[in-house]
Amino acid sequence: MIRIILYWIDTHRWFITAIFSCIVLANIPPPEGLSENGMDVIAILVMSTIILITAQVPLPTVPLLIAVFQVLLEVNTPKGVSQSFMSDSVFFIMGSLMLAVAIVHQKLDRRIAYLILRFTKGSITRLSMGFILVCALLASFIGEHTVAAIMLPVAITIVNNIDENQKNIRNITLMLMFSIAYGCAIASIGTPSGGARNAVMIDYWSRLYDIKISYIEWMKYAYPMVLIQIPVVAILLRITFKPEKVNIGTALDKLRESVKAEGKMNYADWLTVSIFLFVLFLWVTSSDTLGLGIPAFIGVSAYLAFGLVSWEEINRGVSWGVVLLYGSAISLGIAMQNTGAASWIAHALLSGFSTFHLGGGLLLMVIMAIITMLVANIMSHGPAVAVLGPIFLEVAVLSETSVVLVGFIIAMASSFTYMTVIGSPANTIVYGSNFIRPQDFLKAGWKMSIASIIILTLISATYWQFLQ
Amino acid sequence: MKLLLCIGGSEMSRDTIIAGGKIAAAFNSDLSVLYVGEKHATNMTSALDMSRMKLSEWKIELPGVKVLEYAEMVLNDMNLLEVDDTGEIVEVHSLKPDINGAYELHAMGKHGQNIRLRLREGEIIDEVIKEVDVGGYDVTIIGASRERRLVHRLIQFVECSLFITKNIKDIDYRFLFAVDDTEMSRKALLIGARTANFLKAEATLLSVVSKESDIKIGEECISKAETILQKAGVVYDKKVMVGDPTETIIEEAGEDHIVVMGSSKSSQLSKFFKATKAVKVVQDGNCPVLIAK
Repeated sequence: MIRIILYWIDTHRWFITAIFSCIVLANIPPPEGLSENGMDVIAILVMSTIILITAQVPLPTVPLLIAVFQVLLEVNTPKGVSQSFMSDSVFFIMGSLMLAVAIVHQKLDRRIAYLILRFTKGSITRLSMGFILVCALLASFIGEHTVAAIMLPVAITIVNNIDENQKNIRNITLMLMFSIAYGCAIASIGTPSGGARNAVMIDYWSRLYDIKISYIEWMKYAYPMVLIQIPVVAILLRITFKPEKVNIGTALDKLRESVKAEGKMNYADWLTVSIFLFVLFLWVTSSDTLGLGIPAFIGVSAYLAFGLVSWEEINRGVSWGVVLLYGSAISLGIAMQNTGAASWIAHALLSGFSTFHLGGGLLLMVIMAIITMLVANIMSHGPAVAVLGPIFLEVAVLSETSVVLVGFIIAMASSFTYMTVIGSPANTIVYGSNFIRPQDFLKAGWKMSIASIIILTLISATYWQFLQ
Repeated sequence: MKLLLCIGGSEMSRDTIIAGGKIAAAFNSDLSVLYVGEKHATNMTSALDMSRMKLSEWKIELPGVKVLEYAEMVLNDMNLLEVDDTGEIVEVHSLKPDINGAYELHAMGKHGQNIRLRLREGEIIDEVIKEVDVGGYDVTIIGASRERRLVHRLIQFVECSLFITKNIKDIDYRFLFAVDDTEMSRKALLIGARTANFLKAEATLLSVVSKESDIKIGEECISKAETILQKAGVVYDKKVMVGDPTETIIEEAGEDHIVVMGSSKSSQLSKFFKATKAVKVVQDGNCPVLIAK
């Protein structure tokens, strides 16, 4: 018995530390300027962050504890907490994850493989560019994990066809793998449906500051960034992973013919694409009236009604824990705002910035972008936006910077997850193929990080100023 | 008897697989080969499952499966696996998911033993502990981690005897039996003597006492141990030494002995906070260690 208890303590020491920290913080007198409930919310935030980073218990434990502690510490009522967990954005996240399962269950990957191979014409650079383009265009609309899951087997099959001995073409392999991971990363901020964290930011704007941003408005701000980054990724990957062969000649001809024969679009594929395009049409034209969640539900209902995917497949494929996590993140963000915790942390941050003469405006936005990028690489992009969003948006209010621009800065910088495996689902998926070592993420990752921060700074200083 | 052999990859595990295969042959025992794939964050599980579904549609194997195939090949080269007339390995079942929490391929040994190749995902020590709990193994064979804390956790929490194949090489090892008057030391002798006999290895019986006046006690321990080695037909010499037990065992063992010792009789709580002699020998020594539990 004692062995079992000691083993549990040993494997849950960070979880115990997190709960203990929450209880201690909630019971010490709050610092000047912070309400007792504000201190309670900070205690919950600290607990959630420790549990998220150390991952000693399953992830869905975090949202459950956020709900539990909000009630136990009397930050909110049970009814208030449950209401704060659900919103159009959570509907949207749920719907998008279901759409992703329906799309993955079709055979569109063979068609995509054929298109890339036709575009390649024996050139490794064109092959990499083809992957980046396809990933960037798809992942800006349908969620990066879906695209990475579809593209990974295509890349592995191509690599195996170029040379069966991996050691002979290590750079080509890395180039293609990172074309997928980085192609998905840069695209995930293109539209609200590119990533769940984009929906979280829309919710923060709407519920904390009463600012409504439609699907098409988001694209106006974000899509140019996607387009500019496509050639940057291609060039940096080409420079970093110098391919062992520049021209692979006819090595892929046989594969091209085989995927061409197998990859003909059938009625189910056409229907899948048509339904998704209809959902996209509703997002673009009617998000003001229908919101973002309802069009996604229309699409999922159609997929189910036409038998393109079964409920069992959706049930297996959707990570309900992730849906809960985003619901809890929004709930905690609202609690931070309502109790003044976000404002107190923002004050503290701003006084810290002014000590170092960092002031406000563009420089402040760059600092927030860098912090968001680093946190996203450590704890993955979704939780990074959830934790930093309410604080940085409040920093924007206090420093008289645009809340909309700061929101976009946070959302975009959270996609710069080029340096770690856990930064994004696309990174984890390509890493899971066993072709990449963790240190490979740093080789091109640091260059991409700097390039992306520079591009984001330039866009926010120029293009976004015209949109304001 | 059931053996669990934990491996960490393909080529680099070759010596560990061979050592485990020899011990399995010595005892004619069931053998499970376990590979633990990397743990992924729980929020990535659905994305990874989606990716694996697509990989299987393209007939691309999971990464860990290659490691198991390699282990199967090495065991077959050692002539441990039953083959049919065409030279194909006889399988009870091919690779299947969810067999006691792991992917499993079940083959047959030459003498009817069960040879299982198992694939789990997670933290290595946690998965080994789970595997021992569901598999009811008698001995776990595993490489030593560079992280001192992992070695400590492994020795404390795995509930069966452990053979830690630290710095294992393709050489003829001598066995170094570190004996005392505990029941665990006797159990270690029984397992070690049989293995030494099968491997035709010679042995040294070592008793370390803390002061000169205890030498007689050390000689008594050696005398009891001699009976077991004589019965097993192992050629041996014997030593009683005065000094710090851990340092003396490490010094005597060098790199060409397999140290055989019992686990500590200290309480679980004490072991949790303080490294036992067995833990220190594995952490600071540079040779394989068999710890009986």
